[in-house]
Amino acid sequence: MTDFIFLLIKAILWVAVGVGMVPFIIYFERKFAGFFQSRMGPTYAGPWGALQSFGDMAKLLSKEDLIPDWADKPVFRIAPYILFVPAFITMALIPFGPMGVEIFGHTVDLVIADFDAGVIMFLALGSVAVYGIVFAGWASNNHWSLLGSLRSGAQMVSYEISMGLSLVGLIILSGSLSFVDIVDAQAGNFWNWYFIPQIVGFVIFYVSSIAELNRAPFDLAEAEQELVAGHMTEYTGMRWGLFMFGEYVNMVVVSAVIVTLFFGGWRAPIEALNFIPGFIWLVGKVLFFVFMYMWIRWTLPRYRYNQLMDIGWKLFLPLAIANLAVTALIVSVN
Amino acid sequence: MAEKLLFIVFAAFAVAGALGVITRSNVVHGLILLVFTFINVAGIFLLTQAHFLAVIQILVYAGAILVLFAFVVMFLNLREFQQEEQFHRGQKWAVVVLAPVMLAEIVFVVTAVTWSSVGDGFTPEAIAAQGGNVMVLGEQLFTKMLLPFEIASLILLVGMVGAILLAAKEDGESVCLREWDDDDCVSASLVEREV
Amino acid sequence: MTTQDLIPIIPELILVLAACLVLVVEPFLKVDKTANVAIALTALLASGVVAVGLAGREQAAFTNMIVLNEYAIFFKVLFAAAGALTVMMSPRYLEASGRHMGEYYALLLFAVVGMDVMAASRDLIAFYVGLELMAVSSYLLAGFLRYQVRSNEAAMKYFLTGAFASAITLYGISLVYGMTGATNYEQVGASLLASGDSLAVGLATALVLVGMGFKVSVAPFHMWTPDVYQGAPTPVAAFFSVGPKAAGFSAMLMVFLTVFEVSSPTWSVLFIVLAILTMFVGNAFALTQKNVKRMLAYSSIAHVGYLLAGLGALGRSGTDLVAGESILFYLAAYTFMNLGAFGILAYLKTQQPATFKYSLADFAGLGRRSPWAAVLMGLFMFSLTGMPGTAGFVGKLYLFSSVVKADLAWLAVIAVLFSAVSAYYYLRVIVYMFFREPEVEYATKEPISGPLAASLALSAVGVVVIGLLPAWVLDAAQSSFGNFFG
Repeated sequence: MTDFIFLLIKAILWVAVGVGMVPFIIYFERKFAGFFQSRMGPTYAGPWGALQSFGDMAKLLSKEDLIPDWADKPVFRIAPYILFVPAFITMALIPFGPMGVEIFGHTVDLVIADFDAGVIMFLALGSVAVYGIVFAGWASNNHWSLLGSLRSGAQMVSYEISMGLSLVGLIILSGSLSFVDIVDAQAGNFWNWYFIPQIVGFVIFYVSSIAELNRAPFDLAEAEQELVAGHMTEYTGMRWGLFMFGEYVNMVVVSAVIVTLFFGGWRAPIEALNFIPGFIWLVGKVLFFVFMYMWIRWTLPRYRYNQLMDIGWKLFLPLAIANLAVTALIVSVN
Repeated sequence: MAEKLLFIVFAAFAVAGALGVITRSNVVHGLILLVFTFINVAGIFLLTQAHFLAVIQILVYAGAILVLFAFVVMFLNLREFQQEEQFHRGQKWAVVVLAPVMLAEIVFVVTAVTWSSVGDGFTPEAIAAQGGNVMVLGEQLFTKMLLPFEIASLILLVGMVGAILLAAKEDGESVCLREWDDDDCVSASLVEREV
Repeated sequence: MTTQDLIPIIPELILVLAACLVLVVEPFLKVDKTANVAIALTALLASGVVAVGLAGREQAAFTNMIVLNEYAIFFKVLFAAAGALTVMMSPRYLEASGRHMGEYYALLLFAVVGMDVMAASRDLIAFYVGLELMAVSSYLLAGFLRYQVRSNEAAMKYFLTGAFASAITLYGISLVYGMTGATNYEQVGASLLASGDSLAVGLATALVLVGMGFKVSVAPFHMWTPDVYQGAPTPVAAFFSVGPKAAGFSAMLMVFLTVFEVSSPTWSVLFIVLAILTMFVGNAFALTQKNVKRMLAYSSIAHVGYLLAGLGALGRSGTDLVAGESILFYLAAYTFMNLGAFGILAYLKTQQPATFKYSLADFAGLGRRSPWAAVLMGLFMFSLTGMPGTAGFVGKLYLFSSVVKADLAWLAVIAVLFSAVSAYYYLRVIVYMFFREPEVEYATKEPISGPLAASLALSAVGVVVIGLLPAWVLDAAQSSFGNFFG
C-alpha cells in the first residue's frame, strides 16, 4: 500500500513539475523571442510581463468553444489530447534521482517506472503522438489543416527512423534499453556522459527531435505563410490552447529524454556536486535544452519541405547507420 | 487480483474497439478504434510480462502501420463509405454459418488442446533472472534464431526494392492508359506532360 | 554460429551476394543490362555446381535450423536450373516490354534463395521465413510490368491470396508450437507421436495443408492461378509454374512426413480428395481456354493434382517411400517441360509484341512461320500430355505406378483418365500450329536472342534426355529421398 502511495506522490510531483513549467516556458519563449529580435517581448502583465501566460490562459478559457459545422466532431474533440497523453507516459520512464533512496524509512526508487524497454517505449509513444496532429487536421475538414497534417505526418514518420537509429549506438554502449541503466552507465564526471562518444548520435537525435516537435526551422506543418496554422487552423479557445500546451509539454519531455540519454540524467556534471539533489540537476539541464530549442527557433529561417526530407533521408539516415556501424565495430574490437 | 481486473479491462476495451472497427462506416473513426484496440492488446502483453512485445506492438502496429492507413485515408479523403453495391450479396448469409464455426473452433482450440509447458523453460521468473525480456529475446534472436533472423532481413530488403520498383518515377517508360493489354501504351514522360 | 555452419548455405550465400551485387551494379548500367544478366546467370550456375559439389555431405547447421543432405541438394540444383532457364528467357522479353531492369534478376535470385531455404529447412520458423522470402519476391515479380493493368492485377491477386495463405499456414504452425513447445521438425514430430493423434492435431494439419495448398494452387484454392499466370510477365509465369510449386512440394513432403507423421491417415485422405478435385478442375477448365497462357495455368493445376495423388499415396504407404521419389522425379521432369512451353510463349511474344495475344488463333500457321518454335512447342505439349519418349511420360509412369503400389489403383485410373482428357487441349495447340491457316498476315520475324534459344534448347534436351534416359534423375531422386527418410 505504501508503495502505491509513494508511486502516486512521485507521479503527481513529476507531472506537476512538468506541467507547471509550461506557463513559464511559454513566457520565456516570448521574452527570448523578443530579445533575439531586438524587441521587448511581453511587458504589461505583471512585472516584466511575467504573468502574460496566465493572462493568456484566462483569455483562452473564457473564449467561446467553436467547432466548425463541417468538422468531424468526436475526432475534432479528442485530437488535442492524443498529442500530450504519450508525453506524460514518457515522463514516467525518466528517472529523477538514484534508486533505492531512504525516505521516511521507506526505500523508494526515484523513477515512476523502470521499464526494461524504456527507450523503445519512448519511440513508440512518439509514433502514437503523430495521430494527434494527423487526426486534428483531418477532422477540421479544411484544406490547410489537411495539408498541414499530411506534411507533419510524413515529417514525423521520416524523422522517427533516424531518431531511433541514432540511439542504437548509445544502446550498444550502455547495453540496456532502460533509462535507469543508461543513467547509471553515465555515472561519474561529465566526460563519462554519452554525448561525447555519441556526438553524432546526439546531433542527429537533437535535430530530429526538433522535427518531431514540429518546431521552427522544421515547422512546415503550421507554416503560417502557406498553411494559415496547419492542423490548428480551425481550433480556437482552449482547444487551441491544448495544442500549444501539448507542444510545450512534449518539448519538456523530449528535453528530459535527451538529458537522460546523453547528459547523465539527474547526475551532477562533477561528482563533488552530487550533494545537490538530482531532481534539480535534471530540471536545470532540461531548461537548458528547452532554451536551446528557443534559440534555434528564433534564429534560423524555415526549411523548405524537400530540404527537410533531404536532411532526414539522405543525410541523417546514412549518418545514423554509419554511427551505428562504427560504434558496433569499436565496441566489438574492445 | 489487480492483474485479473486489468486484464478484463484491457480485453473488454480491445473487443469493444474491434467491434467498433467493423461497425463504423466512417473510416477515420474505425482507424482510431483500431489504434485503441492495438494499444489495449499491448496492455494485455504487458500484463503477461512481455514488455518488449508490448512496446513493439505499439511501435510497429499502432505507430507505423496505422499511420500509413491514416495517410491513405487522408489522401483519398474518404469520409463515409459509400453504400456500394456488393458483388456477392449472399456473403452476408455466410456469416451466419461461418461465425459460429469460427467461434466453436476458437473455443475448441483454447479448451481442448493440451498446451505444452513453455518451451525451453522461459517462465517469467527465468526471464527476469536472465536479465529481462529484451536481453533474453535478443540473445535468442542472435544465437538460436540467427538464420531466420537473417532471412527476415532479406525479406525486408526485397520489400524495399519492391517499393522503389513499384513507386519510383521514371522517364521513357510506357504507360498503358485504357486497354487491358499492352496496346495504347505511351511513354511516361508524355503522360506527365499531358495531364 | 561457427564457420562450419556456413558450409550448408554456400549456394544461398552465392545467390544473396549476387543479388546484392546486381542491385549495386544496376544504377551504373544505362540501357544494356547484359552485365546483370551475366551476374545472375553465373550465380545460379555457381550455386547449382556448388550444390552438386556438396553432395555426399550430411550436416545440420544453425542449431539444427537447416540441413545439408541429398534431399536439399536435389532441390537446390532443381531451383538453380529453373532460375537459370528463367533468367535466360527474360532479357529479350523485358526489353520488348520496355522495362528491363536489374532488380528483376535480384528478385529472382532472392526467390530462389527462399525456395532453397524451404527445401533445406528442418525447423518450422526457418521454413516459414523461406516461404515468405519466396512469396514476397514473387508478388513483386508478378507486378513487374507496373504500367500494365493485367500485371498489376496479377500482383494484387497473388499478394492478397498469398498473404492470406501465409497467415493460415502460420496459424497451423502456431497451434503445433502451442501443443509441443518446439519448432524443430523432429522434435515436433516426436512430441506429437508421443501424445497421439487428436482433433487438434488434425486441425493444425488441415491449416498447414490449406495454406500450402494456396501456394501450390490446389483446387479449391487455385482461383488466383490463371489470373496471375496470365498477367505476370511470361518468363515470370514460367518460373511461378515450376519454382514455387516445387518448393511448396519440397516443404510439404518434409513437413507432412516428419511433423505430421502422427496424422498421416488424416492428411492422406485429404490429399486424395483434393487430388481428384484438383485434377478435375485443372483439366476441365483447361479444356475451355482459348488463351494458351491461361490454358497452361490450368494445366499446371492439373499437374499439381497428379502430384497430390502421389502425396496421398505416400501417406498411405507407410514406410515405402517410392511415391516420394516419384514426386521428386515428376517435379524435375515437369520443370523442364513447363519452362519450355512458357519459353515458347515468351519467344512468340517478343516476335510480335503488338499482335501476339497468346490466343490459340495466334498459333495458327506457326509450323510454317517458325518451324523450330513449333516443333519445340509440339515436343513440350507431347511431354505435358505424357507421350512415351518424353519426360512427362516417365514421370507419370513412375508417379501413377507408385499410386498403384499404395493400393490406390482406382486413384491411378482416375489420374490416367484425366491425363487422357488433357491430351485434347495440349494436342489442340499442335493442331493449330501445323494444320490451321493464319487469319492475318504476320510480320517477318526477328532473329531469336541467344540466351532464349539456349534456354529453349536446354529445356528440350532436358525433356528428351529425362524421357529416354530417366535412370540418372531417378537415381538422384531415389538417393536423396531414400537416404533421408530411410
